[in-house]
Amino acid sequence: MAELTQQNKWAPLQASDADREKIWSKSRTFAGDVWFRFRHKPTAIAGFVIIAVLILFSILGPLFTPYDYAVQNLEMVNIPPIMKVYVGPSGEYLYITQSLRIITVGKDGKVGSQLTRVREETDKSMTIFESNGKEVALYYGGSPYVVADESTGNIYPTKTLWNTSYLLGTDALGRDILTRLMYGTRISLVVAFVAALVNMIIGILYGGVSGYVGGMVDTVMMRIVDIISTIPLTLYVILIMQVMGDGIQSIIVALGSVYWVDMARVVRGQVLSLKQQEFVLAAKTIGSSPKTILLQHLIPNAMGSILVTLTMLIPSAIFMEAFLGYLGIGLQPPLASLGTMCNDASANLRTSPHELFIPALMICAIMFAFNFVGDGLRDALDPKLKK
Amino acid sequence: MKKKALSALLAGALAVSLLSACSSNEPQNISDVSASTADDTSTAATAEAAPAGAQEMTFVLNNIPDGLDPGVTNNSFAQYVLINCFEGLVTYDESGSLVGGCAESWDISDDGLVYTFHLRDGLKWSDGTPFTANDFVYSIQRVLTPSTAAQYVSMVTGYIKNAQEFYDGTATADDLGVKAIDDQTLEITLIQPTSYFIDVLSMWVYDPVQQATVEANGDAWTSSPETYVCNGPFKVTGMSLNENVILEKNENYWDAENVTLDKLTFRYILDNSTALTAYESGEVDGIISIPSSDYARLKAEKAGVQVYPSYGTVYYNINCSVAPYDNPLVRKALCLAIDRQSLIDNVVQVDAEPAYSFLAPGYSVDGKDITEGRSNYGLSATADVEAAQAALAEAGYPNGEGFPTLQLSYYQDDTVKKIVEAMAEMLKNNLNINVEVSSNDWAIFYEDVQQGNYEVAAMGWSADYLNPMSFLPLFKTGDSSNNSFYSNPEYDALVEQVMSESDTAKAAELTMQAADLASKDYCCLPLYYKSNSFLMHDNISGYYMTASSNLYFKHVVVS
Repeated sequence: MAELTQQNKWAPLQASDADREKIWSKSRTFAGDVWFRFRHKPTAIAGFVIIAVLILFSILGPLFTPYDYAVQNLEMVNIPPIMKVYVGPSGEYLYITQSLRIITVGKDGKVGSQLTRVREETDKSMTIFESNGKEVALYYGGSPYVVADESTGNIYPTKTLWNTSYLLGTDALGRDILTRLMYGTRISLVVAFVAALVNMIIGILYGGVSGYVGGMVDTVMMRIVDIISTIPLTLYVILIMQVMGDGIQSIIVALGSVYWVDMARVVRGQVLSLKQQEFVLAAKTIGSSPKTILLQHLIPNAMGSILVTLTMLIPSAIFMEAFLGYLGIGLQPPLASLGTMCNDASANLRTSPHELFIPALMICAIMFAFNFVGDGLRDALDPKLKK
Repeated sequence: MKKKALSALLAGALAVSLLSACSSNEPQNISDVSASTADDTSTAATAEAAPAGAQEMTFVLNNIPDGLDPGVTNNSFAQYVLINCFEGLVTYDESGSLVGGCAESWDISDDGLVYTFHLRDGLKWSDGTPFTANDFVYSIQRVLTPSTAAQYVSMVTGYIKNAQEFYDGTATADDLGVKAIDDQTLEITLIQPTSYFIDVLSMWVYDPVQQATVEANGDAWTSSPETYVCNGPFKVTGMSLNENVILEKNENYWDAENVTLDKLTFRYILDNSTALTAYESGEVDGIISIPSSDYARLKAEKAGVQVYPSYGTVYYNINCSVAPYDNPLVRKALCLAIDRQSLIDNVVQVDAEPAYSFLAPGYSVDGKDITEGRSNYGLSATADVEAAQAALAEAGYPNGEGFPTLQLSYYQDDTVKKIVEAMAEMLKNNLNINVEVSSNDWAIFYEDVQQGNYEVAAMGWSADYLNPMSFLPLFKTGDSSNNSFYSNPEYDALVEQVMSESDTAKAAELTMQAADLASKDYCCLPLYYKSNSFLMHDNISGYYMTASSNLYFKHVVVS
């Protein structure tokens, strides 16, 4: 060190040819480089992890719940995940439902059954139920409603419990929301997968051919794309439903037949600029077929923009499905998608907000995850952002 | 920014869970609980409220009618405007009894065939032009013109002499049994004596329409307030498509001095929970449909839940013309597999009676309800799985084997959707059969049902007039309202007898025989007998709803 400081900093080093040729930074492949930048972006990794967890949740989750998405328990409708229970005269836990009935709850948070209604005391604003041979009164004269002793009016002590029978509560028909959420997420991911697939196949080929061939072919193909993209998707889906009937297949066909147009435009633009470059000229000179040039040379070079477009289109496809479900178009009951769950819940919004909140949160989580991954990929794939 | 958005989201989630988890300062006695409803009891009971403030109110409707032409539509969503803007020869008063509307009095000939109506003095249209018996003649002839496409035409052709012939073009206006003797006297001749014809006359298909505006504007006369001439307590002063209809007091109404309300706005809010928000914030004065999950709460809080008895039944049509539903045993199995009490208590969450027949109670002869003491046809409030399985086995489908997938159709409506989903699950579990549900807009759904293009379909029937005859044609062979395609010559013969029976007690007896016959065959899938409920703030009084679900606003007072 001392030697270095004494030297003139501006004097040339004694360098050999090997030293001069040496690349000082670590050498990485393109993929390695992308991965390096991707994993150094926390939001991207978070999105990636969320997607992985959601896939596991939707595929393996149903194996671990005792319920089916269609099984109803009409005695247990609109039960929230967290219950405020009253400790009854014989120590039992009592929960007041939104329809002003009382259900018993076990000490472990498992819901039991509805109490039988004995009589109605309208002038006292009370409904009397029988619990373990004793009478308890549901007083609805004030807010909140309470369970009390009929004669003294003393309110029983309260406790707050997690609902362990239905971890996320039940909907308006007594179905387990957690199980329905798994099936709903599965549908969202299927839609994501389908959107990705049609983008990768139709979008890339269509855009690639259009851009590479050019001329009249390009003009005609792009006008077709213009026509397709002017038809509002909602209208289009409704028309397809009328022909094909309701169900996930109609949504898939509807999304699949129009969702590739953006991708086709992007690929065409990329191919148009890339095909002027020297490596394409070289490939042409050595006699490569147009197929080879397109698939081996042009598309891989455009892969950056393709991946970015893809990850941006997937969330919009998921959102479109949820939106259609919310409008009541698409799946037929009892099938659940996140959109139809929100739709079912909106009628009970005032009394059971958890029914809307949970699927809405799930839609948010999926959208965030895909957008973060898309964001991360865009930064990682853009060499200009290299640090 | 993104990080912030995420943490805000998480904070929101946390806040919600905390809100529901923590609770401080627990009250110890019910007297400590804030009495939110203490002062409601006193105001609710006052019948004669003094008018105070602006006599204006807004009432929310949740379905848009297909039209506002009384001669054309049979759509019950149109009734709020039609009932309050038009008045026929007779109408219903607060107690639900039939009173004169445009007609001050009427005489019935001894043979029960000729009705002579004496109209009130000085009747006028809302535009001030005089109103005569000829207007009724014109209106009925218009209904009987095929190009009018009146949906209720059978309510005229079935009763009035030569009406069917006039409709078919084989009779002239002179032959038709509707004649104006002079400006104030109208004579109606019937095909046969019909004891309940006056009840039928209360339907809006018999309401008068003004010849001048109809001829000047064609079908468009109902689409702008200027051309919408009417004769009832209110007139239309504004309408925006799919948004609202504004009614104002009709100064030319014969009883205008007893109409206090100046302005009545019907606003369309299709989403029930949005409507409830508007109601609870005081933005509107009443809403027609209560979200089922809020019903118990609103009732407990005395927030203005109004319950009126209704002469109607919620039942599901079973298509009796297609296999396997042409087999009464299959229909019996379907009827037995439904847990009606659970549907009422947990799904619809209303006050209703489980139904075992399509004919609702509510019609009395000599102070006794005619349905009293009838059989329950082997059905019960809860599902009888064993009996249902046995009936299905007897029909040739032991344990549901070989039974084709049942198609359950419904129209888009929050409550109906919930009922259908719950029923589908009951049928699946109790009969061990496959059920598929499908939904459509009301218009498409109803067309399918009318064409018999369904297996089991959501339906309901509110009587158009207070007589069991309103129900009987539903299962009569060849009747346009028979969408179940149930056909039983014995039943048809009984219905014919009821129609021509002039003695009410005898007619009631025959009615019950007919209803028994069809109910024993399980001609439909009855669920529950309706009651009508809507929300109205306590400062509004004087409105009334008849058992045929017509809501009258003419005597409303805002205080």
